[in-house]
Amino acid sequence: MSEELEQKIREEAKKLLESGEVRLVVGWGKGSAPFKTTPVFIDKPEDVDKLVWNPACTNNLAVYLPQLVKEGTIGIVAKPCDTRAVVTLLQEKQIERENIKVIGVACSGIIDESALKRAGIDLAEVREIKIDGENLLVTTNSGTQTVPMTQAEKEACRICEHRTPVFADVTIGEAPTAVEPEAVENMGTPEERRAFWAKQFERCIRCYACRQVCPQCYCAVCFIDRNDVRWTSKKPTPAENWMVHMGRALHLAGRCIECGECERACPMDIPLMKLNREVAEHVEKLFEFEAGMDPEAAPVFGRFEPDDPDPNEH
Amino acid sequence: MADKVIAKTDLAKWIAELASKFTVIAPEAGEADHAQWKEVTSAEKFNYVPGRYAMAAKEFLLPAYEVLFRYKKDSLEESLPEDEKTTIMMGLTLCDARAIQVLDSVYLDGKFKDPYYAARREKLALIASVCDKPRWSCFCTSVGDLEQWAAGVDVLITDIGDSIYIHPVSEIGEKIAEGEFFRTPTEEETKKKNDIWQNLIALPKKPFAGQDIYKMVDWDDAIWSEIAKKCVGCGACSYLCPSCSCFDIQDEVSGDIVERFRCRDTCQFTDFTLMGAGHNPRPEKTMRVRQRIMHKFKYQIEQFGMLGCTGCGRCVEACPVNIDLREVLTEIVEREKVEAGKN
Repeated sequence: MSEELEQKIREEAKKLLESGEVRLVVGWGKGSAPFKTTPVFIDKPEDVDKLVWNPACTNNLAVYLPQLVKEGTIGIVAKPCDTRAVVTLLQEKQIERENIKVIGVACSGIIDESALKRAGIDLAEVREIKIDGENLLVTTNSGTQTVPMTQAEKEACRICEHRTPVFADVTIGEAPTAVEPEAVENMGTPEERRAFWAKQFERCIRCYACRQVCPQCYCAVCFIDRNDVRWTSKKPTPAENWMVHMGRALHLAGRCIECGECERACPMDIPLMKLNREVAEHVEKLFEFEAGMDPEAAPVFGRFEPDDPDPNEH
Repeated sequence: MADKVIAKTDLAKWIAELASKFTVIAPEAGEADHAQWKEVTSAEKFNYVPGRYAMAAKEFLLPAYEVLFRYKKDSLEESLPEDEKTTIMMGLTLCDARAIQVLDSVYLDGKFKDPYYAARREKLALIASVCDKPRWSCFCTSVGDLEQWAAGVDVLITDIGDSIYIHPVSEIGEKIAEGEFFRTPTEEETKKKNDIWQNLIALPKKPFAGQDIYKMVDWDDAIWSEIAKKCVGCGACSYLCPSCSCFDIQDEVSGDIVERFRCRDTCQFTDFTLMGAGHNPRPEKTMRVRQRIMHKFKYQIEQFGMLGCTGCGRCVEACPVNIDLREVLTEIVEREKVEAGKN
């Protein structure tokens, strides 16, 4: 299954490069471990075999688009969540439609290293991983273990409702079984929530991996880095870390497409998606807007209606 | 110095004994990989799971931020760390202990001795554990001589099953391993300890091991721009690195008090060493990527005679785009071979 899709991705990439429609295809390549992949930038048709497709294709490659399109049309291999990031970038005029070709791939979930560890897998022993229906087959030095995908995948994937690309020039693969929508987790009273997040943010080391892997964090200068108007101190106290993460979450309102890359990239395992999901749900309720679905739609932050809901009344 | 063993069931007693005499710093119990280094006040708080934690020991020696001094119109208050007691760090891996030697070379160098670092370091004793199971990302044996690293700690401990094998290295190390709960190791226990050590030092070496890598990392190498293509410019690699030592210094005003603090900084950030007048010495990502690797594998050898990398693998695991340092170094060595073949 993976192999077939991988072959099709390579064929599509080859077509784009041979015809000269794109100058470069960005996709995933073989990583340094069986549970890793790494972004690859293919500019020659003969190199398309470097492209891979497997349940470790985690990076949202749309993060590279705003820079890459400056030098010509780019082909991008994109999972459904990644295509939503492309849509958001189009809505926000960070890229132009004619500068991108999207090879969309249907997705049955991407693995998460922390989840694998929790499922009792010793990463040092892993030789191969493979999706088999609803399971992940993990081959280690001592045999093959079967882990249900629901226990092996990123939390963002487990609850993902968009398993086919929402926007693509060509779509590869078929939609896996639809996932039942899951209500946003009730995190308790405001006091409990405050206590929960205070504990999480205390760990933040300010490496900004969350921000840097985020395709929506493309600001030329992030508010966190500004020192002419200082919104937050460089001193990573819990209070300042709070400001950093709440600021980011609010800036992503109506823009976060829930790929879960921030959470995955966090070396301190801060569950940032709990925050982003909560914000996304408020935006959906208040503005009937789901991020990254329609390239023609005006972004929530970029439009105003006189009868816009007043959050204070909700 | 006589080696000893202690039953794991007696560990709590040892910790209590140590905590009564010294300040003990160890990874906080109850947390997974991302445990933070905190003072241990009781055995329950001590995390004796030998292993490598997300945050390295530098979290204690070089805190995420620290106030250097505060001043008002006509008074200045310096805030040097003040613990009079010897501090013991437990739960270090050997690579993390080595990283402290790298930090020492930077912060205690004859010319510039950092008083804040020195105040903590000069009273610090290190208990390092021998790994019996490397992580997928580890490559310590490819960047150093573990026998030499082991000689630089105060106590070396090895988990041999039901007991811990204790090998005091220094004078203070001998004091640390004092108590009625220690006994002399049996021959079998010594053999177990030796086997674990032999397994560790026999770990397969990467192609760059033992090479004069500092002669091969080249300012003009095309590899830097290749890495920069995928690097997203976060600081995970260097903030988690046990031997990365860069910091920023800032002043903040609150009322009539000015506080000067330092905090971590990294050459991977766009505003690193950005000058007041706007000049940026490394405006391109290619330059920033090059800086991190050349610093560790060339400049630190030239300045201090030691590599700035201990092979702990944190950057390998943390890089969100899987830039694997081992692959980068291997590639550099391979290209060098090809070049040598041409000449």
